Amino acid sequence: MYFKRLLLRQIVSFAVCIMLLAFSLVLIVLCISSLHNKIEGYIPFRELFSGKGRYINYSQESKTSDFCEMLDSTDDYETLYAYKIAYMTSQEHCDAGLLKDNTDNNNNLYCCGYTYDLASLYTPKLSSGEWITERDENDDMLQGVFAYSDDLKIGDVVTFTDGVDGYEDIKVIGILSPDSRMLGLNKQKYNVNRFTDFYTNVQYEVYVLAEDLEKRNILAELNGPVLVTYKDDITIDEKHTLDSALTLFGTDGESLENIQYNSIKYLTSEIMLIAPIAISLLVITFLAVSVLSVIGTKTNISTYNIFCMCGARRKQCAYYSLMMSVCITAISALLSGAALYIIHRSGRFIVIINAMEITVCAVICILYILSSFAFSMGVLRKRKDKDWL
Amino acid sequence: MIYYIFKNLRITICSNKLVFVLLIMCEFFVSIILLLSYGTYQNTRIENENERYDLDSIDVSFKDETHTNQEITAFLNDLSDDLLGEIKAVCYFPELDVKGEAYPFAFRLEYNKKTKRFINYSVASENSSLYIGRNPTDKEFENGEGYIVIPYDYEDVDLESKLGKTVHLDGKTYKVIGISFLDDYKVSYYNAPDGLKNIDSLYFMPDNMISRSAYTELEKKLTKHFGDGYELPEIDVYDDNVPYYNTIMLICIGISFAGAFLLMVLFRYIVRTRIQTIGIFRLCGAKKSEIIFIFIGEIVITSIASALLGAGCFFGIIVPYISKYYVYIGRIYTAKNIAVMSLIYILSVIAFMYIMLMPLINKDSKLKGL
Repeated sequence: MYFKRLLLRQIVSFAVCIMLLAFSLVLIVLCISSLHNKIEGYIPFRELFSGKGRYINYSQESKTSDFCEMLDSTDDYETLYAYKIAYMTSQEHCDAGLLKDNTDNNNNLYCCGYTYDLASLYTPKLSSGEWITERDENDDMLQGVFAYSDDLKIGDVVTFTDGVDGYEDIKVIGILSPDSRMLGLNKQKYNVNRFTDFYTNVQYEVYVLAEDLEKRNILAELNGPVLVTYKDDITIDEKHTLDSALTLFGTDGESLENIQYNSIKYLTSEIMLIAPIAISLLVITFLAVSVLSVIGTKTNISTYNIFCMCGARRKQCAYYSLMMSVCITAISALLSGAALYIIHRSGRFIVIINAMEITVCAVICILYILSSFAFSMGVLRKRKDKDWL
Repeated sequence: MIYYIFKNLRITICSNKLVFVLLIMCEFFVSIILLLSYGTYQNTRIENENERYDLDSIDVSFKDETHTNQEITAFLNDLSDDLLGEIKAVCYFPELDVKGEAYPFAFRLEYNKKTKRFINYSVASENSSLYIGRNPTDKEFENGEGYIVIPYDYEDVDLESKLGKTVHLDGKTYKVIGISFLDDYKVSYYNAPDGLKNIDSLYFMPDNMISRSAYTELEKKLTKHFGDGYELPEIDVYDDNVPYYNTIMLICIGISFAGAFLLMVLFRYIVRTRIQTIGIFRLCGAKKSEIIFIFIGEIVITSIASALLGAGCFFGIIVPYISKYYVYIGRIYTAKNIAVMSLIYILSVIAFMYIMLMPLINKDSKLKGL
């Protein structure tokens, strides 16, 4: 009851505190979202680029079997990150008008087979279902993630033919979002410098695992970017030998070390654009937290005097302050959530609510609650008996 | 009066150290943040504009073969409103074979979002000088009226007499309504001769930086209509920078507001704690204007001192460091900009204080009761 009365008496201060804290929370989420947006593309490649290896833009003239034979002939390479393309036809699919935007004049559908390692690096945005790495291994049917289509749903089975006499059913386990970003290579981009060059729009109709294609003997050829990692203990000479061997299969090669260097350089320049703003925001948030705590306590000091004269303990007064700050934090969090939702709906700004954003906001809120309590306790403890009177 | 300002300031420092320190810190950081926000905002704006400039035109060229006007119109009619909304103009240049001679035509189109039909690209129409006559109006163009604008022919001495006459092209009849200095014939997109062909390129002029979704749609529709027989210039599909720049600008504006809001909260507290001082001043015979002058003077002195210190730190330490990444920041801050910002800052401080002091000073009866 006392808390409610106290609250109503200071409704203006209360509202001002809520506004300031909510405003700070919104700005913090926007700031972290911007940072997040810049680094999220790099995260899948973080470990891959820190190792030894090489990127090549696989030449379509080279035989995939020769390439695999070359890799099998040595123990020095560790993992292959690549995709293979299988050309298929699905009459029912084309007749139904599904995915026909991507078909060529011969009604060929492009089935892209990611190696398990490549598929595991990154999960694209799906409108429904699951990514190919989550497939049911015990299911005999080939399982794929399809490009966006209104007419497809999870569990549908699409029959493909290789155009000769082979038929293959592919079960839909996921459908990509229209604005999905895929791992691959922009078709007009050959000079790969950094991680951003490995992202492209949705270019193929079906995405499956290359290993599943191999198991079913479906002819699929390597295409586009191929990343080969070497064993950590590889010597410089061995590395040179492997590098030279890889150049036979593709052009515009680049070592992973260089790609890592360029990626970090790019990220640094992008993050530095927002770093001063982020620091300013942190400073202003800490100042706001301190100001709100100090002013809140000082404004209430006369009320606390009366409480103490009526027999309340100092700790109880501090609890009032704590309850007030908890209320302010809760309402601010709700308000900032609503504001962020509106900002997000406008589609013109980056709003990502992930663990990182929630953690930082939670830390700020807890800091505010604790500092309010600590300031109250500090101020109340310093007061001597004569001050109360 | 100045004596009282400094005396008042000294009393404030002694009696309320914590709040005074917070006030100075706020004023110091807010001045830095205001300068930084302005710099970041302007730098981001220029970067954004430069990116838009880079995408002034998307030239699609067809490999190996050329296309007919019917194929191009089928493609253009298949584009969504969202995509066309991001495109300022579409241009292409077909030819018409008449008795073995190729006549050049031009379509410079703008999408009318209201009627959802193509009209003549207004900028091109305004800038194409006519020798005589006029261009078709938007309504005539949309309705596919049979009008034609023919090119100027230096060798034709009887050119002017052609105005108003009818010409027959590929089974269609057109009335000549203008003679242009440009080299091509202009007819309505919706009433073009059927035999127009030999289109080897399409030029899209984005209204702003084209979005990734629009680019994707353009690419998909090109593939649908022309297979892989086209070349679309690369745009950076990874970086859809417009929301990023928008967000940075929003944060900059937000931080400035948060700073101002914070100062307002502090001023409000300071003024509320001074109600007794105001009462004593009034009891001693001070005029309202004198009290306002003392309080505003006190705040202005601390604000100017902190702002100068903040600006010194900003230009001395922060700007040299961030100019490596904020490439345009060097040309953003001019003496005029800084003077205007300082003036706005000081005037805002004065206005805030004035607004908060006035209700207290006007409560004379309450003050006299102290």
